Amino acid sequence: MSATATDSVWTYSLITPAGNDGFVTVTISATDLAGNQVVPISGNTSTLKVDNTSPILAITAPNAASFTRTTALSYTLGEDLFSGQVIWTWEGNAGVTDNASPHVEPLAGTEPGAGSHTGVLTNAPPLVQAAAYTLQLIGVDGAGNADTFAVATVTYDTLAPVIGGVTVYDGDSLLFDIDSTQAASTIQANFSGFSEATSGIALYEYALGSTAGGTDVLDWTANGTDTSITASGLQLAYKNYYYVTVRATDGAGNVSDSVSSDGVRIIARPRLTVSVVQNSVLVNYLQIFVNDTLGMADSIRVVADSVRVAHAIVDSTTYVVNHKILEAGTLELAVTGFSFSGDTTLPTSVPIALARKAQGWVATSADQHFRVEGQPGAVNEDRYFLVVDSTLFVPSENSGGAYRLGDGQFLFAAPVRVNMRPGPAGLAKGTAGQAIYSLGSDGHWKELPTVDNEDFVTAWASHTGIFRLGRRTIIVPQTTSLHQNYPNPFNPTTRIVFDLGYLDGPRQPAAVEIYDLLGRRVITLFDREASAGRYEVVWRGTDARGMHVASGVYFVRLATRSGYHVTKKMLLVR
Amino acid sequence: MVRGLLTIAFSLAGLMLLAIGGCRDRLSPETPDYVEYGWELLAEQNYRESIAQFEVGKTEDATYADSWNGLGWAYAKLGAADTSASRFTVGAALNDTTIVATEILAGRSFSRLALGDTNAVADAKAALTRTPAWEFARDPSLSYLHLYLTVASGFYSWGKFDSSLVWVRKLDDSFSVDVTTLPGRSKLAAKLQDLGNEF
Repeated sequence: MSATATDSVWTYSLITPAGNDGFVTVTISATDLAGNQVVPISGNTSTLKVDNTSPILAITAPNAASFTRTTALSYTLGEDLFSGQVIWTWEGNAGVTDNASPHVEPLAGTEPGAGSHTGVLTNAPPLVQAAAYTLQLIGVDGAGNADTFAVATVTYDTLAPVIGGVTVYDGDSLLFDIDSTQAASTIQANFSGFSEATSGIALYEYALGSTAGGTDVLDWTANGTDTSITASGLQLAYKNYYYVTVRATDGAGNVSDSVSSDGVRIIARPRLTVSVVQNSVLVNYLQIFVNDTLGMADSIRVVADSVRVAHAIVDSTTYVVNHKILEAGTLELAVTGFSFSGDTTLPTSVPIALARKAQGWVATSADQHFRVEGQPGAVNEDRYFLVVDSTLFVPSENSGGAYRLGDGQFLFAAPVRVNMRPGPAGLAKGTAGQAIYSLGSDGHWKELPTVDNEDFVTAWASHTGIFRLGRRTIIVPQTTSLHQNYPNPFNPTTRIVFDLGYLDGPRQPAAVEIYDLLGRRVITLFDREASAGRYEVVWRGTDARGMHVASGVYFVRLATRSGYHVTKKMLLVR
Repeated sequence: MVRGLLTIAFSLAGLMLLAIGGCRDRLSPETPDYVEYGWELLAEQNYRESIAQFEVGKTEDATYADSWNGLGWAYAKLGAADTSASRFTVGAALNDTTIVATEILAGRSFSRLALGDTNAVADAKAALTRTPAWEFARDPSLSYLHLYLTVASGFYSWGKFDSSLVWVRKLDDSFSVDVTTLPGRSKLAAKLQDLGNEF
């Protein structure tokens, strides 16, 4: 670049301009006509940035309801405004006074740079309800690029929707209002009547409270523009009233007053539970806890074996009865909860066995699948036992399908017979291979010698405790019997096999004796108390003194304490 | 001859006196002997006969706390809650300092619980304070676990559900319910029933 002019202002165009945001460095030197060059001249070099693009602007429409003459306006500024100015203008539409010319509102900070910004109008004209206003933002950069402007339109609306005719109906219909419901987790309501002339209804919200207008149950919840409300997943208290409250928000964001329903009451028939706790020591005393799980009952009545018994009120939903067992058998409890919405009676059977000292007794579970039989003398004092099934056990005991007799610690004076039914009543099959197991104090199940006994399998137990069925691995004879001796005839030795049956008891005294034809006892081969099982004795053809007896017919006789006795004939041939 | 007979007679009389004197100690048991025999009978579940022995012990020495202790337990085993509690109460007033005091408190807690007396909770807790790992020497099937259950049941019938839950969790720390809700309280009652069947 060169020049010959002597003016102090020269204008040149770059032959090859730099691109936008590029830089051009201009160095100025001077040479006079005599060829003298002033080099360098202080400050003769300048670097210029090229800017040939317009600012990038965007305006966020202000909230119509909160729009005022001094509203803070938000806008974003993109690139290319490293210098220059942002100018707001706004213009009222028809019907608005003082809108003849744009109002130029310079914003604070004329070189804001890229990013989000807020400026404040300072001198806008008076605003009129329902009028529309256009806001313009013009950006002028330092290079003079000013072609871009952003526009936002807002309708000035500060009036909330009108609630004059709003009605809120509890329930799922707009035709009628319900006063109560059995649904404790869902509330329904319908409403109508909101009106909004300027910006329309943009949103309905509802809340749920225990009082009209309350939000203590459910805070304000958006419902779109739907006028039917369904709130689910709630945990509403029975007997209580709940109120649905609605409100509307218009397009300008104005929120109406709220309107409430007249309330709906959560109702149901009382739902009762009964828990029976036997005293650890005074086993004839029961604590009976009655829980009104819905809180619906106004009062309760407890009847035990057709006799009304007193109860204590723990709180409005919990009651306790301290009951003394007066007689054996199944304690039939009938607990009735009274409520304005109807009554509920819960029958509960508590199988209670009375083990008697002086006579036989039977304890049977409610389902008749578990039965314990005690003989006189099995207990030293009359004593009550509860018989419960495994649904009342704690899971850690792994006691599914088991039954509990008493507290598991009581030692009988004499073993009792435990019977369990492997299958449904009347089906004898299915008992084979099944044994009764008892839960030991070490937490392990122990198989009890078990025999079939009609529909049941039977074992003997010395303790109260928990019993269940399992696979039979111990085989014991069911009944007492005497087998024919072998060989027979014999000379001089023969073997005599007999069974002591388990049904007669786990142990019993038994005697095996040899008699001659005249009924005289020759010798006693076995005479002691023995466990159930199979036994074998040998007779060597001698009498009690060890002398050989003569050939002839002899009789072997088995007798037990249970009253069993049988005789079989033998022939000794010398 | 006569002198010899007299000598023999005096000798026999002396021997008889010695024999009688020697037998006197064995024929005159003291209160602890009666009471101990009463406990043996109670262990054999002969409750009525044990009561007779405890009564003798009480008559011999009304300040011997274990007599009242035995009476309380024997009547409890017979299911006579009122009588049991009253006997325990007499024994408790004697301020015994041995394990008997714990046994009296423990026994009375069971009797009072049967009667619906919320003082059962205080008794059971007092027994546990005295002997935290109590096991009843006269009946090994009873222990501090039963006292836990008594406290839990007592608190429940007292309406102190949160305290009841605390004591239930001493028996089963995996159990947890929200006792501020009605279903939670119902589950707690069911748990007490389960534990009652277990202990």
